Order: sequence, then C-alpha cells, then structure tokens
Amino acid sequence: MPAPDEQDLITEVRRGSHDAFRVLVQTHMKQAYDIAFSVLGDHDDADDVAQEAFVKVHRSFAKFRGDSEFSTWLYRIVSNCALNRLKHRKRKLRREVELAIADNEIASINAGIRNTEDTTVHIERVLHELPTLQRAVVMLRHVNGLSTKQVSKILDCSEGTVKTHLHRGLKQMREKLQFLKDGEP
Amino acid sequence: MYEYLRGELTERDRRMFEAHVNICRRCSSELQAIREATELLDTNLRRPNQHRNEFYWQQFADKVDRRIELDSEESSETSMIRQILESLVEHRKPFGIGFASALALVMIAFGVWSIWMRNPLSRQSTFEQSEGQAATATVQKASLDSRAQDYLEQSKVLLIGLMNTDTKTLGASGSFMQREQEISRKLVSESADLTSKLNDPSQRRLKELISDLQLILIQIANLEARHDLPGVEIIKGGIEHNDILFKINLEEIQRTTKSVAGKGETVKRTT
Repeated sequence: MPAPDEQDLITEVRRGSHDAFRVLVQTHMKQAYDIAFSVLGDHDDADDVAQEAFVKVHRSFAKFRGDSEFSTWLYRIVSNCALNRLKHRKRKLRREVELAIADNEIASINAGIRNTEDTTVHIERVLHELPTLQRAVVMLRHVNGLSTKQVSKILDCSEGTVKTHLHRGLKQMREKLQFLKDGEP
Repeated sequence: MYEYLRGELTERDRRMFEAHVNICRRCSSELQAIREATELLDTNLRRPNQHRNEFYWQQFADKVDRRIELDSEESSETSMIRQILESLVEHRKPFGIGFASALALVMIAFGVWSIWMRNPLSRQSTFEQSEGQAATATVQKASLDSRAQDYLEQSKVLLIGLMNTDTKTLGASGSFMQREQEISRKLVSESADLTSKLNDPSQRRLKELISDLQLILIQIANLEARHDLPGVEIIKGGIEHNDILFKINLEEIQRTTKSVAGKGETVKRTT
C-alpha cells in the first residue's frame, strides 16, 4: 500500500486536483527519468519519455486500482514507454544510419578524450555498450539502489532474470574495464 | 554474489556462500570481478538525473502540465465526435448509420484541418510527411533546442570563469582547473551529439556556434595537468578573437525574442 501522504494525494487527484498530481510528478520525476535513461541510454529521449509517461498516467489515473504501490504502477508505465520508444527507434532504419554516422563522428572528435584518464568516461561508455536489459538492470539495481523485486516489476521479468542480467552485466563491465586496472587505455 | 556483496543475504545463506567460495576457485574469481565492477560504479558513476541541473527539474512539472493540456484538448475533440455519433445512432435509427457516417467523415476532415492549421511544421510538410511524423519532429526540435540552450548556458559560465581567471594566481593553486576540464570534456561530448542532430536550416547559426565552442572546449580539456599557463592565455585569446561570448549572448537574445513572439501569437490565437 502507498505511504499515507501519497495515498492522500492519490485521493485528491481522483477528485480532480491538479495540484496534487503536480506533487506526485515532483516526487517521482527523478526516478522516472532514471528508469527511462536506463533503458534508452540517451538524455534527450529520457526527458521526452519521462514526460510522456506522466501524461499517460494522468490520462489513465482512473484505471489505477491501488492494489500495488503508485510508484510501481508509474515506473512500469515509464519502462513500457521507454521500451516502445526503443522499438520505434529501431524501426526507423534511416535514423539508425544517421545515428551510426553520428557515433563515428563523436568517436573521432573524442579521440583525445578517450586517451584521458577520466575513468567516468570509460565506465559510461562501457555501460552503454551493454545490451538494453543488462544496462537497465545494472543501472536500476546498482546505481539507483532498487531491490530485485522492484526491478523485476518495473521491467516485467522474473527476479531470476534480474539476477542473471545483473551478474552478466557487471562481469562484462569488469572485463571491458580491465585496462583501467592494468593501467593501459 | 551481488546480494552477498551488498549484505542482503540471510546469516545462513551468507555462511553457506562463504563456505563454497572458499573452496571454489571459479566462484571466488567471479566474486572478485563483481566486487571490482561494483566498486568502479560506486566511485565513478552518478545517477542519470544528476546530469540535469536544478533549473531543469524546476521546469519539469511545468512541461508535463503543458503536455497534459495539449493531450486534454485532443481527447476532448475525439470524445465530442464520439458523443455526437452515439446520439445520432440512438435517436435517428432510420437514417442514423448513414447520417452518422457522413458526419464522421466531415468531423475527421475538420480534425485533420484543425491540426494542420495549428502546427506550422505540419503545414509545410503535409505533402511529404504524415501528420504523426511532423508532430514528432516538432517535439524533437523543441527538445533539441532546450538541450542546446542548456549547453550554451553551461559553456558561457565556464568561459566567463576562464576569462576572469588570473594565470598568476592559478599557478600557485594545486588543482589546475581540474573541475573546468572535467566539465569541458562532458560538454565536448554533448556538442558532438548536438551538432550531428542540428540539421534544420533554421538552426545553422546555432550549429556553427556550437562547433566553435567545441574547439575551445577541446583545448581546455587538453590543457596539461600542471602549469600550462601559456595554454590558458592562448584559449582566452581565442575566445576574445572569435567573439564567442558575444555570439552566445546574441543567440540568447534571439531565443528570448522568438519566445516572446511565440507567446504573443498564442495569446492572439486564444483571444
């Protein structure tokens, strides 16, 4: 069940209070953004998808029965929106080609940066090279500190799948970042 | 393994796990790999939302509000059409279906026309793109504009800071512009992405400004770790020579003007 104050807000929203909905947005916007980013790996898309998810939540608020926590329901919508955006992105072949070109350009421009000792840059790169679900699980479970159960509900998969993706993702990251330990970029 | 490292196992499971790891070389090395990966993440990675500044989060709920308003307008138009059709089918049974179909066609045509009139981008490209694609393009352009604005704002703060830096006192401090260099690296990466996406003819000047900024930011990022004071002076000269700060200000003024004009147009339309 939601926390009492959140339950009050939900009741207020059901009565038509837009201010209460605004408070819910402000409470959950950062987590919603993180979930969208964990799936999409792009700040622009995360911004757009997080907003889109709140609009959907507002539109279908009457459907929220309250059997689960509001946050679980909301985050599941965010995750679905993000996965849909990902599918849409893949369907747009032309855009995919453009992105590939953009990636090459970025790679050449950032050649100097890659040679720096900025560990964060390397870690972010390796994280974004992981398959979508592995990246999402690593980010939600480890970076955002959600439980296995919460992540499984958000991504609509079993807890076993979450554990497997987490283990594989972390192991792969360690292998790809071995050079940091060896001191060779 | 992850649960063990985070201290999430029960006492019994923890003991069993430790007993196994002590005798299994493979699990022991896997545990070490997972431990090192989590340590790297803990030390170096921020949550994605921390990449956005406080201003962005203050505006977030407003942006959601605006989208909800648009969404409500669209759904009220749809429900109005549905209500009319339902009432016609119910009360005019002899002519209901035929009349309702004709009216539906008229209403759909009206809906398409009203969306076409409301959105200038759609108007330009009606014959080239579908309505949905045009709407997506508008949202993407707005989102890109807002990102570019954030980028310019951050670059401006960084460059003003650099221009006001006294190289004589800078040499004495231990940390030689580390923070500035870190920000520059992030902005370089952002500028590469932005310039690849700013393809609209109306964004040509903005794209050029971001490319100019990119060169300066790369120079800042590549300054020697210590005592590269001549390097700082060269960069300062480059900023002055190319009138970078003036161009950023100009871009901001143009944006403000456009935004005011846009609001004026909206007010006119609503009145």
